[in-house]
Amino acid sequence: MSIPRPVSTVVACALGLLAGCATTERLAAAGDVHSLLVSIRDNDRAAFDAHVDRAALEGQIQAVMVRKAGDSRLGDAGAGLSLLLSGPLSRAAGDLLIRPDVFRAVADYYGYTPDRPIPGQFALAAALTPLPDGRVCAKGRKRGPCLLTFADEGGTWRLVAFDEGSVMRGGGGAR
Amino acid sequence: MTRRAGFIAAALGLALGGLALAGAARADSLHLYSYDPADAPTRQAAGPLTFTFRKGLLHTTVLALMSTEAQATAYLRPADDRALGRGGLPGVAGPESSRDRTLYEVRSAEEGAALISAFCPGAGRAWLAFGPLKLNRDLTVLVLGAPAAGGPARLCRTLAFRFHGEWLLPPGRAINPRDLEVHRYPGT
Repeated sequence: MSIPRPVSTVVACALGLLAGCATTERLAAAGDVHSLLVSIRDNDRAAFDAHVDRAALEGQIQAVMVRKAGDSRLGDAGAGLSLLLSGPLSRAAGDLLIRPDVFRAVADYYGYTPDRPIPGQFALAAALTPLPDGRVCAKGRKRGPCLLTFADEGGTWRLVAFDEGSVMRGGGGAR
Repeated sequence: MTRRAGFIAAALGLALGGLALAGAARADSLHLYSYDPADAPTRQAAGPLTFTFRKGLLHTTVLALMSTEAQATAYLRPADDRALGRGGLPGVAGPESSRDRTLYEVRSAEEGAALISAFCPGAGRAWLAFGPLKLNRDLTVLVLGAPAAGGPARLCRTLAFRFHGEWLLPPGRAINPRDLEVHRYPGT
């Protein structure tokens, strides 16, 4: 009679903290989400690029930068900075941020680490929740934010948005 | 004297039978066994799983399965193998592979739908046919699925597991399996 893993894991499982609606979308997305997480785990840039919508992510990064500059206490200088950020600077930031290693913390959260076996499809499909607009989001908790959001683009589910707090603060928001 | 001895023997038999039944009722207990995937396809689809089941003297009823590595739970209910269509379980899986198995339907609540999709892509309903759950014994589970719109069931895959261990439940009062239905750790 051994105790195979920390009891807390089974407690969490028994509590059924993660819910999810049963829809075809989230389940169809699981394969591509799995591929993205594996590419992050393996730092495989080509596979990663095939599963992200770079334009959408750059747009999100740009919006974040503009918002942060605009609501700062820079006054007119902040407004000017916002305009500057809406151009090439945000694309440069996108080049820096849209890389497998930046998303490592989120992949770790879902169990995609080099030292562990790749999680099963059941666990991954259960973590995906369909959104009303047809996209699918990967949450950490039932009522938590979408850590990663995916959209079906020509038959491939690609990452189109991410939770800035979780990704940029090293996954802290994921728990 | 002989008649009296016969009466006593019959009464004793009844009493012992009653005690045995009472004992059986008391022996009905909840268990959680963890299994690791025994092959690559099982690892890919299921990963390590923990099965919750109620065990009595004469029966074992699987209640739920949980991903051991993530927060995902699917609930099961006993099913009649006529639900699989003509021929039942032997008709779908073959007479040999269906021997000594108990059939359960996967309920769609919680992560049931995710489980159906992962174990039997394209199916709208799924059943799991369990071999015996015994301590330190490996386990195979047949996955059967049917389209949501109806139609004959098919054998989707066979999951193979290696026994990993039993979770020890908290000491104290008996566990009510219905605790699992209200998302509460049993016994708390």
